[in-house]
Amino acid sequence: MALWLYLHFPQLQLDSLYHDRSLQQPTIIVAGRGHSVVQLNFEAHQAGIRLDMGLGAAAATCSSLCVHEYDKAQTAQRLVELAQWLYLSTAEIHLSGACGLLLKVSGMLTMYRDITEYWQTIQARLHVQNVCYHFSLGYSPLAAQLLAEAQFDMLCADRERLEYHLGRLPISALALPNKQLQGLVRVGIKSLQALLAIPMLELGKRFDTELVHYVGRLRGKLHHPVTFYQPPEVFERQLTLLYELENLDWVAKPLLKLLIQLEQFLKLRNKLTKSIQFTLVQRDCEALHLDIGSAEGEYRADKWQGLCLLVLERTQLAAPLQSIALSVTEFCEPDEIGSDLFSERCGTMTAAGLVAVLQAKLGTQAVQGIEPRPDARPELATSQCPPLTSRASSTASLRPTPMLRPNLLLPQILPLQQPVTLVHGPERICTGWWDGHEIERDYFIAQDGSKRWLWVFRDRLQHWYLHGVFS
Amino acid sequence: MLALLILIYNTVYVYSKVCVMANLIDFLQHQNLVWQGTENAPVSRQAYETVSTGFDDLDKQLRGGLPKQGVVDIQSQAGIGELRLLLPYLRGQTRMCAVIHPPAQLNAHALFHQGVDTGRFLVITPNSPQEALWAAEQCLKSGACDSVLLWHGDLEIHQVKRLQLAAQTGQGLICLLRSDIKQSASLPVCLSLKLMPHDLGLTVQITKRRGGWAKPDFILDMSSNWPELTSQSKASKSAQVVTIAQALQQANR
Repeated sequence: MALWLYLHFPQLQLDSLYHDRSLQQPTIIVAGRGHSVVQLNFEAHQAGIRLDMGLGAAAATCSSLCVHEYDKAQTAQRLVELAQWLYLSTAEIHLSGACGLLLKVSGMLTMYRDITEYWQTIQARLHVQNVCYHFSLGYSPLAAQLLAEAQFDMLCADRERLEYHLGRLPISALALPNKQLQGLVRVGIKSLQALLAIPMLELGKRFDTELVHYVGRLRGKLHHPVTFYQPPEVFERQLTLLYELENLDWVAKPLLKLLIQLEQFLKLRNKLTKSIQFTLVQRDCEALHLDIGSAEGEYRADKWQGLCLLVLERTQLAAPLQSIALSVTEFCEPDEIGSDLFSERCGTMTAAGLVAVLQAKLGTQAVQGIEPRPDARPELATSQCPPLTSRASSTASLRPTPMLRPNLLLPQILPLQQPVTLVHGPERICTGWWDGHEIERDYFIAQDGSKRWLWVFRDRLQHWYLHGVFS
Repeated sequence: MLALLILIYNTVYVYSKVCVMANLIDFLQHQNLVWQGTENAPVSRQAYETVSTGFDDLDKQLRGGLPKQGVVDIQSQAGIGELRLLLPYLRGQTRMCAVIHPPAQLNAHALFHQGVDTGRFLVITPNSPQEALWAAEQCLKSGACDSVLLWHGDLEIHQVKRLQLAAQTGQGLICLLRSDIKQSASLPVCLSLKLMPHDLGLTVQITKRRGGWAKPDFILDMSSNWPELTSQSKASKSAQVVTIAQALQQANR
C-alpha cells in the first residue's frame, strides 16, 4: 500500500498577512454569515478569543483587534504557491480541499535515503515559507488527512501505531453529513475504532453506500481520486551581454540566441506562442519592456526575429544596453492545418502572419479591420476592430433593404464651403437621444462644381456640413 | 598565311553575328515579345489572365477585365466614382483586401449595404509614403491579399517595378489610385485608366493596356448600379433638383 503524507494548513490566510512576527497585533479572520472567527493568531488567542466566536464577542474581548474577511481565492492561490514550492522536492502533489496538500511518499523514497531525510527536506522547504502546518503520514489519503487535521504531528510510518491513533479519533472528526454522524452515534459508535471494527459487509447492511464508500477509502480498500499538480510552463531566459551595446542593430545576434532557445523549448512541447516579452536592461536607466505579438501562433526563431527587428526599428535606447531577457508566459496549441493540401500555394505568408508583420512595423493602431454596426448615426455605423475579427459575413442573411451610403466618410464633419447642387434628398436622421450624442440631420446627395458626389447635411440650425464622399 | 587570315576573319565575323543575335534576343525578351518554354512561362502568361470588373461594357473594352495580377494605375479626381468602379470586382474576391492610406475613413456601413464582406478588409494608415509603399509590397508578397488599394501621389518607375514583382509573387492586384498627378512619364503598369466624371457615370480613357492598343474614350454607364448617383435620374425627376438657395427658401417658407 502506498504511503501518503498530508500537510494541513489551518491558517493560510493569516500566515500570508505578516512576515515579521514581532510586529503582530491581535488579528482574526472571520467568515460566514455570522462572521465567526475561523483563523486567529497567538496574540488574539492570548487576549481570550477562541475559534467559532462571533465577531461581536471577539471585538468585545479585545479592543485593538485587527479583523480581515476570509478570502477563498487568496487562500487557494497561496496553496498553489506552496505546491509549486514543494514541487522542487517532491513530485506527486495533490491539492486537497482549500487548505491541504497530499504528498505521495512511496514513490519518492527511492530518491531519498529514508523517510526521515525526505521529511527533513520537506520541513526545510516549509520553514522558509513561514506557514503554520500540521502533518501526518498514512496508508490511505483519507487516513493521513484525518490524522493531520487532528494535529497528529508525528513522523511515524508504523502501521499499527497509526491505526491506533486513528482509532482514538472521535466520530465527529469524519467529514460526513450530520445526519449520518447522528445515525452512527445512535447505534453506539463513538470512536473511529468502533467504526473500523465493523466488517464492511455488515456496515453495508446497516448504512447506505456513501458511508461504506467513505470507510473503504479510509481503510485504503477503495480508490481515492487524486489529481497531481502540474507546474505551469513558463520560459524565461536572460543573456548578459559581453560588452555594452549602443546600437540596436547589433542586438540581432544575441536576440537570435535567445529565440533559438525558445524554439527548442516550444518544439519539445509541441506548443506555439502568440506573444513574447523582451526586457532590455539599460545602464543607469529603467529597463525597457517590449511586447511582440503575432496574430498566429509561431515557434520558429527566424520568424520571431523578423518581427523583433521590425519592433526594434521603432525603439530608441536611452542608455547603453547591458543585458536582454526573454520571457514567454502564454502558450497555445498548434492549429490543425485547414487549407487544402492540393490547392496551389502562392505567396509566403498567411493572413494572420501578414497582420503581425504590419503591426510590428507600423504599430497596432495603424492596421485595423472595419466592421458595420447597427446604429443609425452614420459616424457610429462603422467602427474599427482588430483585423480578421469582423463578423460581418455571418449576418449577411439578415441584410435589410440596401441604403445608399458614401464609401468614404470624413473623419471629422466639416462645414460645407463650396457651392453644390442638391440631387437627392432629404433623408432625415434624428436619433441618439439616449446616449448624449443626439443628432437631427437632413442628408442630401449633392454634386459640386467639379462633379464630385458629396454627402452633405443640414442641421437644425440650417447650417450645412460635408460628411462623406461617394467615391 | 592567306588561309590563316581568312580563318581569323571568318571567326571574327561569326562572333560579331552571334553578338548581334544575342542582343536582339535580349531586346525582344525585354519587350516581352518572345515566348520561351522555361519555368517562367506560366507566370508571364498569367499576367494576361483577366478578372471581370462587373461592368460588361468595361470588360468588353478591356478584353476581359482587369488583369488577375499586376499593377493598375487609375488616375482620377477623388469622389467621382473611382471606388465604385472597383466595388463589383472586390465583391467577387475571396482573399483579403488591403486599403492603404485612404483619403478618408472607409465606411464599413456602405460596403455592407453594397454586399461586400467587410471582414476581408484591412485598413492601413501609414505615417509616411515610404511606409505606405512598404506595406503595399508586404501585402502583395504575402499572398494573403487578392487586391491592394493604394492611394499615393507620384511614383518612380523602380517603385512600380518592385510592386509588380511583389504582385507576381503573391498573385495579387494592386490599384494605384492617384489624383493631381504632375509627372507625365508613363509607368510600367499592366493597365492605366483615366477617369473623368460624366452624367451617366464615368468617362473612361484607357491610356495603356499591356498587349493591346490605345482606344478612344468611352462612357461607362453606372445608372443601373447606382441610379441615384447619375444625373440621368435628374432628368426624370427634375423637380427634385434644387440648389441650396432654393432649399433654404423652401425651408424658410
